[in-house]
Amino acid sequence: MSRWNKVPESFIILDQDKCTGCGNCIIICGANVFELKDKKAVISNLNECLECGNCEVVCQADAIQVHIPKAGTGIIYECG
Amino acid sequence: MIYDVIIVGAGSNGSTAAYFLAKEGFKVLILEAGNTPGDKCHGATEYAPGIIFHSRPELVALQLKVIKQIPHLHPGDLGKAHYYYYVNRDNEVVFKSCSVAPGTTGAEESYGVNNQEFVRVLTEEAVKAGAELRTTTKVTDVLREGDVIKGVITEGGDKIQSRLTIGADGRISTVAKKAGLLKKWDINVCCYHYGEAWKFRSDEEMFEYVEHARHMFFGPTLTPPKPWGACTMGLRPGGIVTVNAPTSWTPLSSMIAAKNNSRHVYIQNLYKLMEVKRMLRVCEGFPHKPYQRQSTFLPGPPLEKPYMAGLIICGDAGAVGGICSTGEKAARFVTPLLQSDNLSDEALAGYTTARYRTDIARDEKSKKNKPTHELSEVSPTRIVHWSTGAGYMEKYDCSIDEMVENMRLAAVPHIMGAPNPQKCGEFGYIDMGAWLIAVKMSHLLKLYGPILQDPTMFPQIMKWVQKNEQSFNEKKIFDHPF
Repeated sequence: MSRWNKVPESFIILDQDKCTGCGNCIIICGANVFELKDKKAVISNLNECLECGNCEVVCQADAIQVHIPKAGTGIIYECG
Repeated sequence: MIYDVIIVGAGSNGSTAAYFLAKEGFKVLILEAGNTPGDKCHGATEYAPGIIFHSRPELVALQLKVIKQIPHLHPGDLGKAHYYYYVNRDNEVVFKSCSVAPGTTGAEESYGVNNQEFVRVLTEEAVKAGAELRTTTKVTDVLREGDVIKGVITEGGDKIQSRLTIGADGRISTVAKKAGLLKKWDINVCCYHYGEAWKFRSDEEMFEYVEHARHMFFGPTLTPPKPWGACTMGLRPGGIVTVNAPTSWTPLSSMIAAKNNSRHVYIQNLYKLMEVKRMLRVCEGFPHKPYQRQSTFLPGPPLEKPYMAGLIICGDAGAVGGICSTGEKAARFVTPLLQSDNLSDEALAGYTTARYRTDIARDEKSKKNKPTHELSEVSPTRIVHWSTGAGYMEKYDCSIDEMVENMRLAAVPHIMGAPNPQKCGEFGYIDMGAWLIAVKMSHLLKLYGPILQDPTMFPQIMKWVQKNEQSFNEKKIFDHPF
């Protein structure tokens, strides 16, 4: 089972000014973390994040930066 | 206090490096962001240390020592059997085959292990060897003095000094980024991976329902043992079944170009198969709420410069993966440099080639039965090159017959194409059917050639075919005739 230890603040930094609304992050995210609002991506579902980092890789505008969440928080896998 | 080595990340490569460096008597500190090592680890692996690391006996010994202490373990006799389910356009299984009879053990020791448990025991071994472990400690930056890395800075603001830092902190590597060695992974060579896991109450229950093989491939399964491009179900210790969408060889750029992440379609199609429903129906939440979901990307190409004065990057962070592999290589490479206290940029430059170096077995006897390259060193980049075979016919503007004829000769890499996201409703390229039949026939001929040539056997087979012809046509399900 995977648990999620709530993070005090977002570990995904999404720069609204840089975002072009291309939707790449929405296509690639396996956990539906992002949503398009007013032609910009927003983080709407952070607690589902699987911390894979795909959104950062596919962001053509370099608007997304993913860091590992604060120590001891974020996804915790059980049974591997 | 100045440590000899700080290792960021207690994963398989970090802990292996820690183990070998601590054994050499260096003062080693491992920093791990999770509450326990392995918190962020998912997945399972088949470990066959004797095969994978045949040229590195000490690494094999370490892995076997770790494996023997793991609470949940599947013995190697599970690993040999693979089931292949061929699925048609109507999403029905039309053919099923099994590579090797279940229960037959391979020549070498192999085990099915959950990665997380492996990493936990491995880190314990590193600590036993003398390394210091600090968990719940996230590294946020490197400590710089000019062009030299002198240690790390943690989330709490602690500055920890060391002579050498080893960054083994995974694909989203803070260390590689802060040191300026990694800007961004290339979208054209990073491959997308997605999987779901289901849980039975026990191993025993799992084997009651699921085929007794470690892997089952559903879809346009290519020739064994190269089953890329199929939905995969894998049996794992603890009664866990993982389901992987056949996207692991699909570059992120293909998904973006198709404006479609096909993972969901693949997996939903899989769950609609009668065979799969029957196997997984007892799992809680099936088919809508998986026990666990996993997503990642396979990074690549390897970092051009995985080092700088006072710093080495290994594991996924440097895009040369492989369980324990680069960790051990990094440790071996830096040991003499630490002893002579020369950790300059020039001295560490040799690491780029050292991480690939393979010691090929010298004597003829051991050469004969061993692979000449270590399996763990297949970089994701190379896999992407193989996968350019996707859409072979479009690419070469040829018919199926021509393709089969071409491929029959050699070109194995071309058939290992990545699934095309635009064709996801069909489990990838079902047009590979003709090729599959050709391969299956040659496989069958190889196996059954002697029987078929026997004049007394052929009439019997013909009789069997005629007897079952009607049922073939009606059900379109073919059992193995022999």
